[in-house]
Amino acid sequence: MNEAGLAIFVLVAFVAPVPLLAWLDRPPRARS
Amino acid sequence: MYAGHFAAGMAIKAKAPAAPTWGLLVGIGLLDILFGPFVLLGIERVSLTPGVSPGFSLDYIDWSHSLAMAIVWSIAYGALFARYGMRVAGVMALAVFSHFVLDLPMHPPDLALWPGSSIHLGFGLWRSMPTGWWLVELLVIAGALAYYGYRARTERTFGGRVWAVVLVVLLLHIMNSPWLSAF
Repeated sequence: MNEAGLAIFVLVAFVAPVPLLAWLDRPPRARS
Repeated sequence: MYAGHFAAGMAIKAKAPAAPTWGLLVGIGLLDILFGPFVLLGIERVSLTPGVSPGFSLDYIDWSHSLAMAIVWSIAYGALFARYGMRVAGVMALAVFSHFVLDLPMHPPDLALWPGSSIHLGFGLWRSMPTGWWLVELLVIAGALAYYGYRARTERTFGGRVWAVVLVVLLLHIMNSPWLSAF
């Protein structure tokens, strides 16, 4: 890996988990 | 620091549930999200240091990571969320600035006071504790996620899958370990 690869890696590493973690953070389902 | 930033984002969410989670999580990573394009554009410089922890040297990151620019990015990012109210905007700004605070113990002195400043901050755990830094970050993650889990149970307006969040953040931390890292 070169410097440009590292820069892209860091960018992806900080963006990629966002949708999953935000989705998992949804409120708990209401129990009837 | 990597996964610790995400843990901090979840802890901030726990303190301010009205703040959108995606916005917080982008905020905690914003300085590094900017770092990537800045390096590609030649505005900032990094070099690889194989065999020397953490595997790279952040030679010039003043526009994304200096103290002054961290404050600027925090205010600018918070302003994007003004329509959510001042509290949420402030929380978003705090999320961005938390990145600088958490980077401070890990980075060697490469965090300038402002772009071009000769004064650089950083306590250098990456260098002085080539594997120990990972355990220090693990403590940060444990504390932040414990708070997130506690608040999720009492608030019930977020955090419906606390254990899945814990698992994902821990996986990110394991992937970034000095024993597995690509650097």
